[in-house]
Amino acid sequence: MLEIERLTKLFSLNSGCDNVSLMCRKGEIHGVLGRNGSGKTTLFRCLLKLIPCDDGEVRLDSSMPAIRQYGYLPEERSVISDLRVTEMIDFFASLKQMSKNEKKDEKAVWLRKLECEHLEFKRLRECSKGNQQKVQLICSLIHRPDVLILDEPLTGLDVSNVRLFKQVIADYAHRDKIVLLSSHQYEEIEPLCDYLTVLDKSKVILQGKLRDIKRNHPTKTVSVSEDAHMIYALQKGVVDVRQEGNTTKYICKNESDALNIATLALKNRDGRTIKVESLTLKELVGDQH
Amino acid sequence: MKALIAFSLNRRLNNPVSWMLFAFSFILFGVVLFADILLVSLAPALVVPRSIHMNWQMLEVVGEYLPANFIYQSDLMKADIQIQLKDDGYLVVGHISVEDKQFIDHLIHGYHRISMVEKMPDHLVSLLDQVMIANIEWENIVEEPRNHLGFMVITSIYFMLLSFSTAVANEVVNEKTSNVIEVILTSVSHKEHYYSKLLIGWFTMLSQLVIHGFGLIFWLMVRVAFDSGGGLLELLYRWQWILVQYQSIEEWLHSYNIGITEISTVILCAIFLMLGILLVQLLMVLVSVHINSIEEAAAIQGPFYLGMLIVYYMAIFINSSEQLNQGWGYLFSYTPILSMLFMPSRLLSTNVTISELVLSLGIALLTLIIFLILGEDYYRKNLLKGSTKSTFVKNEV
Repeated sequence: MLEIERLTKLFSLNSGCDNVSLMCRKGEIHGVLGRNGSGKTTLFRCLLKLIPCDDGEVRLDSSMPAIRQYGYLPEERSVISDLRVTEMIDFFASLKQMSKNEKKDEKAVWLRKLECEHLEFKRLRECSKGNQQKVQLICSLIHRPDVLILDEPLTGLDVSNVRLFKQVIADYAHRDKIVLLSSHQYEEIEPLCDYLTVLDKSKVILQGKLRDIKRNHPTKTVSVSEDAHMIYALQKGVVDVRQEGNTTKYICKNESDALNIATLALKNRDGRTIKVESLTLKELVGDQH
Repeated sequence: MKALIAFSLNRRLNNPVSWMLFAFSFILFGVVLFADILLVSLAPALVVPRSIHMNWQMLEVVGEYLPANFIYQSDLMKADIQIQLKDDGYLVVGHISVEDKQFIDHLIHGYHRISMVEKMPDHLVSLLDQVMIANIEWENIVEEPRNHLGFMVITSIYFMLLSFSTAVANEVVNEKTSNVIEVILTSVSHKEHYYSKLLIGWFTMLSQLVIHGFGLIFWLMVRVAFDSGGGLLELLYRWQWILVQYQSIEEWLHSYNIGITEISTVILCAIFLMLGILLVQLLMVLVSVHINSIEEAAAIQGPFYLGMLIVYYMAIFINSSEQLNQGWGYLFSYTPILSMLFMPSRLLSTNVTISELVLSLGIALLTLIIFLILGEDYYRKNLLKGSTKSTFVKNEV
């Protein structure tokens, strides 16, 4: 289990992290979300002891040697471009004090999992952005850390690679590991995250199990397809209306307002599809801001 | 730290350019140590002595002064250079260089004087002696040889210093600009990273010395087994690069009478050099930790190199025994960084007392320790500044 208690690291202009606490259990994927400058990277850096905290405590229940407890994929590309893929992986594995055999076995496993065996002897400068990101991911988890920290892991990836990354991350977490990740691609990480911490201006503004947050949030949406005229926009409890192609999405104050609109739509036989849903992660985070 | 050092050394030494350089230096040592044999087939004119013809009276008088690059040829037609009597003077025929022309000029003048003096009556000879030879007495004169050794030592130290400290500094810049530093620091502490950078420079220098040294020793052994180095030494003597003809490399080395004093001087010079390089390397790393892009590197490192160039020129100009014993050179031999150039210069050209040595060494060592300790914190604070995501780190309060 990873416990962060009242972690504070403040810079000028009130940036950084202010009194951030969170808890992650083994096997969980914890999303740390927020706008640019909200303090996500500072939180990760403090966790990794890259920068000293002003206050707070980090506790990790791990039987691993300290050097292998964390794996980190930074937001920016951080590759030594003149190295071959295999050399880069070996280097980071050596830093984690992996033996020669361990390195060899793990490298083969992860190259296969991330579908980049053919890149093994290619120089990193010859690899595409997505492939470089794959190599970086391998470097961050080759030593199978207890806590894997991924800062914007999906940035710059194409659709198939996003799917692959999500699969690898989910598989990794399911082996009793903790994954902390940040991303701006809310739609992509929504099905991945179990827990959520939303930061704004250095502070935690929303935290909890994603399913509970969504369930407990009063605002619900009703999507009515083939409703180009937004005919329920003036109904009671509708706070916002969004047109997504031929479908109109009514944001309602609470569940009963949403159900009223859905009932009306059913009665009038408007639309082929009528859906009452909780807010999406993107809407939730946007709502908090 | 071990992994960092091993990785860095591997990157520096195990790459095509380094291998090419090692192969080049290996071949170069072979070429130099077998230069006499190679030149016989490639450029015999440089090796074979030039034949010179002169009449037998002249040969009797000046023959013993002929240098090793000339050989007497009795057959006028076969000689490269011919000296003949013509009317009241001399005629020189042949292709000759400016240096050879000067030498032959001296040779003829010497012969001419001697032959003229021999024809004179004794009273005239003594009168001529009084006119030609001034009686000079020298008192309290200390002969000061031209300090080629000092110049060579200073230049070698300067270039070693620049190349090794630049390499280490650039490594820090590369790691920072590629953001790799952030990932590395999740495995090693700032402190380990800092000390590994300093050690890497040292290990690189030692590794290169070992690799190139191996090439030199290998060819030296081959040469000794071949002919004890006699042929090479003969060539050097013929070119007047050495003034005595030695039969073997061993004999040549013995002629230097290398004793405890000379060995101690070399060791002390090496210690000052090591301390100096370490300190400059440390300063370079601390300067480079501020660099956030390759473009900034020249702007930030430039003034540092300029400063080092000034130090180099100072060491070149302040190089006489007097300046090193009393003037600025004396003060600089106690000044950190400068002492790595000035103290070896003093050691090689003047007498330095034990107390002076200890004091200078103590100051250099103390400065290094202070900079190491202060630099550690400075390095930690600045290492992560400047990456695109560390805007906030820049504004730390």
